[in-house]
Amino acid sequence: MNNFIFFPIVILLVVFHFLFFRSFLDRGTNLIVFCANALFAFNGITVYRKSSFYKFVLYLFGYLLLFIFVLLLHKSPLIFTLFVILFSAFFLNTYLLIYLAIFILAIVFVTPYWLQAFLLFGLYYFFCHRIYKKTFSGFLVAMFTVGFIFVLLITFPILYFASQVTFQSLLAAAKNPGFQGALLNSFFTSIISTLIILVLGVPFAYVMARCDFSGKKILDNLIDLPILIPQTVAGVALLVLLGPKSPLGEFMYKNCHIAVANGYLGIIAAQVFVSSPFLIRSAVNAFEGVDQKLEDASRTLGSSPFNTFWRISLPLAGSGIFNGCILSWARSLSEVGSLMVIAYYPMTASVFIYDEFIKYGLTETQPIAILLVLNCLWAFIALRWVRYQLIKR
Amino acid sequence: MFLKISQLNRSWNGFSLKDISFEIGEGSYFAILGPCGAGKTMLLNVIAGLYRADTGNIFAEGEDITFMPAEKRNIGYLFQKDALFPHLSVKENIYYGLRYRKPDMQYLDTILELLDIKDLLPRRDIVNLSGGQARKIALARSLAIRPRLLLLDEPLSFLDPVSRQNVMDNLKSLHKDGMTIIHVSHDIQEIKASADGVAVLFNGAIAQTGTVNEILSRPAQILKEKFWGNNYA
Repeated sequence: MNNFIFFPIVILLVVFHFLFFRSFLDRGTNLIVFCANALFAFNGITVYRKSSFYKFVLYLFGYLLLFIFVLLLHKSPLIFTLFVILFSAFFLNTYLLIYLAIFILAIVFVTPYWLQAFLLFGLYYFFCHRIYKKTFSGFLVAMFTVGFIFVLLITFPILYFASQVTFQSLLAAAKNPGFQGALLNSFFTSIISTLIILVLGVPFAYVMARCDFSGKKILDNLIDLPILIPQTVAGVALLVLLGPKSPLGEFMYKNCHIAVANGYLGIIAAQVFVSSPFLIRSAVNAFEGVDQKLEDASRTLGSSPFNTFWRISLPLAGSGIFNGCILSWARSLSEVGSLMVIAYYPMTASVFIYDEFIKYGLTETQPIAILLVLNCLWAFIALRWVRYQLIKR
Repeated sequence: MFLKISQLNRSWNGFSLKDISFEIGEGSYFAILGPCGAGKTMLLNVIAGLYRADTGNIFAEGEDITFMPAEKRNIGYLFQKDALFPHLSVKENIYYGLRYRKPDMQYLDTILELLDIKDLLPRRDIVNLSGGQARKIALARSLAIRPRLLLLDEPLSFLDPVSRQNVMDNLKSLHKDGMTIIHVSHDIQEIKASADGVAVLFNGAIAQTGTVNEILSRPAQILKEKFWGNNYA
């Protein structure tokens, strides 16, 4: 840069600051703002030389906006200085500039939640940018925008709720023996019920996927029935069938000393009932995704139908079935309604939380609830990871 | 007669095979020609035992196999799109059928030699094979069980000209070694050089049988009109 441009600009800036900025800034702040303005001015020369005149106008316009909103309306010269420095540094990199814009908008307009707003909208822009770079489709970005609202609806309550408790209260809740027992009960029963659905549901799913027969549609709808039925109704139905006063329950108790209601068997029965659709539906879809040709090929090579199922259909549908297991297990774990009817004791974690809420209220329940969510979350993520490894192989 | 099909009927989803009858001698190269949707693949499926015939009989080497399940028929079948098992390696694919019978490793060796795919055996993934390689592996897989009859469903489709010629040569030398082959195709040029008998299938019924030359020189009226057009040959 030659002196021919350098000195006029410095002189201009000094005059400008001496006459204009001094009227509303004190001396120290004025000096800092002066530095930022100098950076802006010299970077402006680079912008003017390297890119179009149009961009240079945008550059000036950006400064004007910052000046009006941050310095004049918001009255924070230090933040203004910071923004001007970042703005000049990022201007030629559109990607970073947009993050800066989000940052500035978050601070200026939603000051109390600026961090949350910046993180969320930054994340939103990050995904939009990725999608657009891959597909060059504005339509997909618009669809994503709608979808992101949905993501916010799901994650925001949980995240906000999780940010409300301290680590100490979590530790105290973890030491609660009642909760520990309930959590163990939950994991134990949900695993057993998932295994039961797996063993009984997979053969059924295979038949549903592999052949058309009259009446199949009825069975097909029957699979989804437990989703439709309210959980309490499911509990009542099971209690009517298996409760201590029903003929079957009485028979089982007298002859085998098995009590279903208010016992592990009752919990498992209820969980199997409510969570079976998830596994069976996934398994049906998975089996439908296996090409019939492959099974035919296996048959012509001398493999019996059972061997074909074991060596071809099951491995190929495996990842879909595993996903169904995860869903089913998660559903069993989160079941409350039917359990409160058929087996309030022994308590599972979800019933325990309801019980705490009734007895002690919201504040006491919060750490326990978060602890349950955390426990389920790590197991869920671990299972998903296992599934990912299975697919990769 | 090696394979004899008599008055075979089969209907499924509104389509039917009507009164199919033909005979194939041992070691012959028989072609079934027909346009798309003529029922060629369905006929092969019935012969292989994947579909059961509604009426009629299938005899192989004098034995009635009409009600025999597919896995006991010992008939090799090359599917239209190869149908290789995607979760198994190349070697596991080829060796798949050997578990269910006494494996004849020497025969398998000659097959691998003939098809020239020995260097593919150590490869793990099925997905990245070229079309010709996949076709040959599928062929080797169906031959590994030492079938008495080989069914080929459009074995030259979806191949580039070089691999096409290559597979065609392989089929010819297989035939020369004594394998009985049924080759299904919609293109008479494909089987002109190798087939010694042809049946033309049209709308689920056999329209004409004979040698390639007979079909070409005196095609049945319905074929002239609907399949080849009047100006063919």
